[in-house]
Amino acid sequence: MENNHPHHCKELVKQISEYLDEELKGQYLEALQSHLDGCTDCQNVVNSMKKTIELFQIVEENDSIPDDVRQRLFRCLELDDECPES
Amino acid sequence: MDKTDNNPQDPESFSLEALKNGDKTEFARLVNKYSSKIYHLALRILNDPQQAEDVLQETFLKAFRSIGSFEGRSSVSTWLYRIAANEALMIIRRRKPETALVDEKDQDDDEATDETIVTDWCCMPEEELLTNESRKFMDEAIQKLSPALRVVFMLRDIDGLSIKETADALELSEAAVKTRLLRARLSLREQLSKYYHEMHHEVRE
Repeated sequence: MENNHPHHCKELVKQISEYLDEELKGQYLEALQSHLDGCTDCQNVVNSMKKTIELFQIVEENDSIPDDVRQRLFRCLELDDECPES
Repeated sequence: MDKTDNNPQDPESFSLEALKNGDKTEFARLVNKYSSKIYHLALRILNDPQQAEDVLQETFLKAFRSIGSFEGRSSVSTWLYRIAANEALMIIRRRKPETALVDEKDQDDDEATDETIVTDWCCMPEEELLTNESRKFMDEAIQKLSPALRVVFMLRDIDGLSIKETADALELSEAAVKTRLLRARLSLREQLSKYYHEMHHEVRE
């Protein structure tokens, strides 16, 4: 139970970002993985952080540049002839 | 050699040689591919459409002028993001020179983890997670980050630069990038968790 003490969770939360980036190695990775196996709260933090990043990626992916902004860009670069139709 | 953008077999890649020779069609392809990403990077950092447009134009003007000296140690896209991020951060410095971009706390930050919401909202259907209202909330959430955190989150998580590329682009150590990334991700996760937690309870009531 010692490993699921809230203080332990708080310390491990600091490693979650590196864990998601697959940058956590060796004993740190093993310690976190073994903690996650028995701690639903920390699993939720990992999953929701992953989901948070995904949602921002989806939103940004679908945001396009306004047509007038793009046209002014091509004009200022003297690439008007190359500006694709919207 | 350009690492990722100049594979002639890939229609998404660019010929560095053509760009260096001033090939307008190739440059227009580059502008067309990255203008939206550069614009949104600047818009997120600055939260001001006019200034974001200025950064967008300045980024490609600078790229156009200095492509001859680009050595290709990074990909063209990383190089563009670096120019854009620095242009945007320069505007932030001009706005608030006293707070600039020395991030408030680069040490381990206990504050960010004080109050952790552990509700499991990940299984909510995407149409509930991405309503117009929640998109608006996400816009506000990202603006609540300091510019120093916002730019790291954008470059790493949205534009897909590696930790090292982000560190190079912002002239930070990799350790500083990791610390800021953790704080940005924790803050956004916390804000979204609160939001979805409340939404879920409203729906049930």
